[in-house]
Amino acid sequence: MNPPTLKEAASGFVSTDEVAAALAELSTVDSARLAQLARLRCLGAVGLEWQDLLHEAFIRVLDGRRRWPRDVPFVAFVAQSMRSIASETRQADLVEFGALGEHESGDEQGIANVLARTDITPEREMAGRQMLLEIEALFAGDAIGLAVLEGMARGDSAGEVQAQLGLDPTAYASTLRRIRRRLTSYLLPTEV
Amino acid sequence: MIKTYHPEQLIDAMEAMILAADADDLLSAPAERLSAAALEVREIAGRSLAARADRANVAQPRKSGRSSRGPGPLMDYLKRLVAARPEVSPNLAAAFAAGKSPSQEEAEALAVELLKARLSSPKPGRKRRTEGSRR
Repeated sequence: MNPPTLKEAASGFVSTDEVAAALAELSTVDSARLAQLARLRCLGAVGLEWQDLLHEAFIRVLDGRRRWPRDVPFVAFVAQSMRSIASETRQADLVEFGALGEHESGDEQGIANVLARTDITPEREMAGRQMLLEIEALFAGDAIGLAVLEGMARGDSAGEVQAQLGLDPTAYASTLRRIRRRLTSYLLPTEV
Repeated sequence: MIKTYHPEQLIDAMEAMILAADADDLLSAPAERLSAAALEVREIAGRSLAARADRANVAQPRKSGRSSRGPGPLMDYLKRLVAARPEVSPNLAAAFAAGKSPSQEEAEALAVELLKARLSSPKPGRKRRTEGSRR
């Protein structure tokens, strides 16, 4: 492995040779986590396969288009990269579900309003809706888990979520663990 | 029922959960699916690394010195040539015999001289074939 260039070392970025070494030595846990993160980013995306997304993220960091800051864990860095790539891919997918007011099945008028206000294609809107339905199904019977996840998505702090839902810190931590385990299992590829 | 916000916010929240998951959380998933996913990710990583190596080989400028892969076909050929016919280049033959390798420039210079000699020499075989074809 070549040592980092002076510029790389000074700027706090990992050299591409070090990236290659990190890729070659991925642990089972990190590999599985990357598969989950890639699948997550492909939820609701039309025509985006998790394998392609992950491959593109690896390629970009290996060819230096994206640079890995030395103080960021590799998996977190790749997750950021995939977020960016998926975002590029879905640039036209500004699916503003907020315009629907509330995501309710049968709300055809709401969908029509959104379609009129944006350039969402029916396929993209369907994919986004399908994603929400899948998440709802995943948390069927766990209203507290879903509510905690929603609170996080809104950007609420842990204290705010606990106060809103009447959870003590122990129950909150237990709920987080339940969510994590449910998500990790759900997001593992079923066909590999 | 999920309240409304941009789906990406929900994905971001779930991503944070996955990143925060510890090994115990991950290992709570079925072992076969876990190992199969890990295997596929490693394959993707392998493909990415191979693509990088391919690009590096294509982009590698031609070096005048010997590469790390060995002496190369030209040097191999000259070594065999001067071993069989030392009179072609006594200096090169002596160098090889002493276990030394000449520089790439020396080898290329000799190769050029041999090629010139070969091109300027008569080619009776080719002439015969040409004549034969005209008949």
